[in-house]
Amino acid sequence: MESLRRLIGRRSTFVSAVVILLVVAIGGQTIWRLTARTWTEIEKLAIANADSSQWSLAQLEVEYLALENATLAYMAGRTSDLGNIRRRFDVFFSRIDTLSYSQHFAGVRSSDMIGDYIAQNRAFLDTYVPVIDGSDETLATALPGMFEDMQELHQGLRATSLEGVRVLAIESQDQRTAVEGALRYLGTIAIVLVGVLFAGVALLSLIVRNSQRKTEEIEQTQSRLQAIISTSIDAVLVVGKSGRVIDYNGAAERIFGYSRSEAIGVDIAELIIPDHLRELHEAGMHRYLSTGQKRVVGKGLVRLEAKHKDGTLFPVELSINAATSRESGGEFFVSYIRDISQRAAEESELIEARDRAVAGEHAKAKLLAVMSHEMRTPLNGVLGTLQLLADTDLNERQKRFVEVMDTSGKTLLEHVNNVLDISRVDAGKAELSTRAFDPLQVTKDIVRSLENAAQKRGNKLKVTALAEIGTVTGDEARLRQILFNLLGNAIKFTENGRVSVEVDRDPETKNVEFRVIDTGIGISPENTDRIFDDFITLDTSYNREVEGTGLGLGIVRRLVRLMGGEIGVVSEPGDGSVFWFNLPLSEAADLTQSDCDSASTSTLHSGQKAREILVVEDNEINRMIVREMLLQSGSNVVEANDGEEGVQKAAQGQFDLIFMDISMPKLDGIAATRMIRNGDGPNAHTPIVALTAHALADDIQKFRDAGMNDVLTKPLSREKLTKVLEKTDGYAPQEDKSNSVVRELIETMGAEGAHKLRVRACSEVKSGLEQLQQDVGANVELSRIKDLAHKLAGTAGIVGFMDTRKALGALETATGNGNRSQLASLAKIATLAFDRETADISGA
Amino acid sequence: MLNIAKTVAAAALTLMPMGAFAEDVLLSVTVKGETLTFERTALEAMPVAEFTTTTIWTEGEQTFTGVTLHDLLSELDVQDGVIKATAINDYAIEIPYADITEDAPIIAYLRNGEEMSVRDKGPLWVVYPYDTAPEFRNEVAYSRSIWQLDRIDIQE
Repeated sequence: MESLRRLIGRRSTFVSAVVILLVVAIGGQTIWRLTARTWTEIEKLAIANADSSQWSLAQLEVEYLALENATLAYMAGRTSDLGNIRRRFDVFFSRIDTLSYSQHFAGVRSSDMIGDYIAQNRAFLDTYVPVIDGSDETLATALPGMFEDMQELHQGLRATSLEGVRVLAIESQDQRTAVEGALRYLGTIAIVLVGVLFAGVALLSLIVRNSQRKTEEIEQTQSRLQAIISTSIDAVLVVGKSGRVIDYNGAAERIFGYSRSEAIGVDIAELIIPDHLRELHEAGMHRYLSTGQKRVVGKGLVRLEAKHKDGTLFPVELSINAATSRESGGEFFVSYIRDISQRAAEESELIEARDRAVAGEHAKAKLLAVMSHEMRTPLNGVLGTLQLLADTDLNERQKRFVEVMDTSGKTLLEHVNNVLDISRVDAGKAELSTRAFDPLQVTKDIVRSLENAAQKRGNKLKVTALAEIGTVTGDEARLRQILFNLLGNAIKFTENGRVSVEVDRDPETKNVEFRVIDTGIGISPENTDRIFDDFITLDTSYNREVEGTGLGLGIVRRLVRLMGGEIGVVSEPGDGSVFWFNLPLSEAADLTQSDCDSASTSTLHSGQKAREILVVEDNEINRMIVREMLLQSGSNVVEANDGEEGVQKAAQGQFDLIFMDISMPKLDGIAATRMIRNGDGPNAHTPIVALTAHALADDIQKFRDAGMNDVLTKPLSREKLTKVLEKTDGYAPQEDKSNSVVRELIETMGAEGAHKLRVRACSEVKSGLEQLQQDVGANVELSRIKDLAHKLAGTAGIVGFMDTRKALGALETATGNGNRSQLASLAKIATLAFDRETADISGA
Repeated sequence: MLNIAKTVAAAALTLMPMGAFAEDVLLSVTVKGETLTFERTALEAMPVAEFTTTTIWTEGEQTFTGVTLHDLLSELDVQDGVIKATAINDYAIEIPYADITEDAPIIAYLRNGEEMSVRDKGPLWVVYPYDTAPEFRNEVAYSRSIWQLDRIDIQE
């Protein structure tokens, strides 16, 4: 823009100079021409002639009269001298001669009348010259005739004189007019020229003033630029093509340590570029100068390292641009360099601080998780022992104390569990498992397990599926926890009402949506927003009735978010609440062929199915402890309050495991177990584990005789429970060894070889397991069963069927104990585990 | 100075008897009451001046030969005053001595190498070299160009 204006300015200056030159040239020429013309006119004026011409004309008449007089004098006899006549004749002759030839009379002569008259005179003179030049006698004789002839000349004389005067007057008039015209013209031109001159001067002064202003502007810009450069906080280095420093500002002195005089003229590579970057720099310079290819030049901010005078390296931000100038001979580079060591230090400090904070946060959460876990184990012990204490002979006062302790312990346990959940999620320890399950079934299970609690408060429970849900993949255990919590809350805050659960699938997002609807007390609008916050408990008066940590919904929200879903509540105080949440649970691949080859008929759910466990326990606290532990291990729990209810529930559905309390009212555990085993219900072969405080050897034998597979002594601990779970179904949710074994196998044999081996091992184990079940049922020798189990366990282990191997291992151990009653269920467990694990192969 | 003039005049007079016939007097000069006469021979004896020029009274270039007025006056020891020249027909003009230069005017006695008759504006004609300078082409110079000159009177 600026350069364009400058160019135009320069052009206009050039144009005006040309115009001025042209005007001056034309004006000069005009003046020259006019001056020359005027000069000629003036010269003509100087060669004045009119006066003498007119005098000459008049003199003609005078000379004539003198001749006439002389002639008359002689003829009258007044003189006898003819000399005077001769002289007068000659003078008259001379006068006519002049009139005939003088250029002054050219104009006069052109008059016909005068021309004729001159001719007449000439004729007269020519006639009489011989007479005049002749002898006196001749002249005297001819004189009278000559006088006669002379009289004729006299008549035309005056007319000629007058005509001459007239012609000459016109001539001089013309000349004066011409001179006047020339002068006038000259004057006009002079005025015009003076005008042009003034205009020229004005234009010139304008140009001068313009250029002065431009010079001033340039000076100002320059000084401003100089000020900008010198006050810049960033170092400004101007470097020539050769790499030598041309300019260097104050900030550069401060940043690099070299003074301006030290830096100017020195190669920038030696000055500030660290040794390890020098080659790059030189290559870059070379590349740019030879090919014009830019890498750093003109690319904005680049982060590099620079070298201080004392040799230390520090981080800088650099911006270089190339420019050209006519003065300094071509290209040069302008670079702005900012020392960012402070910023870099601050950045790393910040990162460190953040890392520390994050680590601290993790450590805190981890501590919390560990603490609450460590607290829970002894607490379970306390509660269990307290229950034992309650069963002893106590007086009324002691019973009341135990009850208080029970209630307090229960509350404390709930608190600890909640804190543990929260800290797990917050510590990032919570991992989501992705297994196939049926959400509707899960919901129904939860509802079933809460039926007792609902009944106690006079509530009716109901599950409604609003859409086809089918099998999905996701974290079933977490869903259980969420539903259990929301339903528990709904039951807690509803009395003699309805609690219903709707399961739906959003047609657009495909998310599965759950709605827990109650007709309870509801939540006021100002509380709906904060109800999901931690430690929020509403309505303190109600709290006395319904104990809570205020963490339940906080956990729920965490879990929903952890699974990628949303949660919310709609409520009308007095009318009830709707807690809704949705989860992105993708539809699982449909039921798949799970056999070794496609011809197999056996079908199973793809993936892990949650264990169905029935807990038969009359003590509420114990039931709660077992339930909590099982829920956390990813099981579905159905509860029964006594032996009778236990037998009833066992008749209704298939369970994977039954926990059975021994001492219960109405029907004790041993009797209930016998009824289950002896009946033809779906759980005749389900492993049953005794829950008892009486773990004496005799008792244990009694339990086994009744058909129980194992004994769990109170107080319960997670460790004991997990052991029993592992033992009964070989289920180890935390670890999946099979993957690593398969991986190793693939690494050793290649993918195809591994697959072939697995297929072979698969059919081997399959037929082996069939044999085993037959053998167990047919009371074959225990040692043979043991060998077969051992062999199959080895095969299953090699190809990564870890659950199968575990179950077979348990069976092998059981044969060692001689416990035949356990063998059938263990064989079944092994088969189930095998079916589950081989489902992976068909997919592999 | 007058002596020289006298001598010249005397010489002229003494020469007279030597010619086949008595020469006509062409010019008479009056200086301080004394009148001197000059015949053609006397004039020709003085330094000869000659130039070629056009005049307003003639056609074409003319070569005039004569004696410069300056030389004539020097001969007569005249160094100031006014020279009054008169023609045969009594036409008279005055030339201040200050206006006379060493070269102009001359008193011509030959025109184109020939003597001039009265009919040809002779025998003597005061002329300037009109072509050489503009100051000879003005009315003063023209009026002073007296032809048929026959006498000069030097006035103080």
